[in-house]
Amino acid sequence: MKIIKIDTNIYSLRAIFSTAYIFLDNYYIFLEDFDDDKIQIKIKSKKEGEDLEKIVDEFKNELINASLRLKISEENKKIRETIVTSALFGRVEAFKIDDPKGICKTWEESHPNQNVHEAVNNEILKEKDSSYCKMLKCDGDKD
Amino acid sequence: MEIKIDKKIYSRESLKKTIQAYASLAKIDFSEEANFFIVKIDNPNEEIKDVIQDEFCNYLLFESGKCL
Repeated sequence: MKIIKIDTNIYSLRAIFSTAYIFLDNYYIFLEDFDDDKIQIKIKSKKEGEDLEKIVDEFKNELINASLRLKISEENKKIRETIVTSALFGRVEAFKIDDPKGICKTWEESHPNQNVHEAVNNEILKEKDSSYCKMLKCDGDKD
Repeated sequence: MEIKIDKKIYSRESLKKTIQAYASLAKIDFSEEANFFIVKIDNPNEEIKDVIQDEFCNYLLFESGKCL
């Protein structure tokens, strides 16, 4: 059996658990409180006669990995949550821009009480009666 | 065999789940001190008596990791 003492001011309990979890398949691991700021990790191999020196080193390396993963995960927490929230609502809230004239609004958003087909027909009718169309029509009649 | 489990490291909930999982394999007694849970494992099956304590601790670690 090998014993590792870990300072909890450097490595969080969560990181220690994450690391220990990786080794559970091949080793027996038990955590004990050693001091106020230290945790004692007992590592025992499931196979007889295995040299645990290498495993202790691997455990320590993995502990650094786990700590870094947790730190990055903590740092990216907000952006991760924003992306997931935006994905769930179907739009990216983070890129919402100031649009006082309503340029970015869709037609439906800017005309909430109007049917789009009726509006298009009305526009066509208006065009027919426009002086430009009349002029063209007159020209056409002449030809 | 007796296991002293530190309350600062392992949660009560995870210990409860571990005891439930191992209850069919041995007689398990649970008691509590100020800073420790005390688990006594008696009369385990002959086939697993050498490993039950260590396996119990591993299972406890696994359950505690899930609760974090």
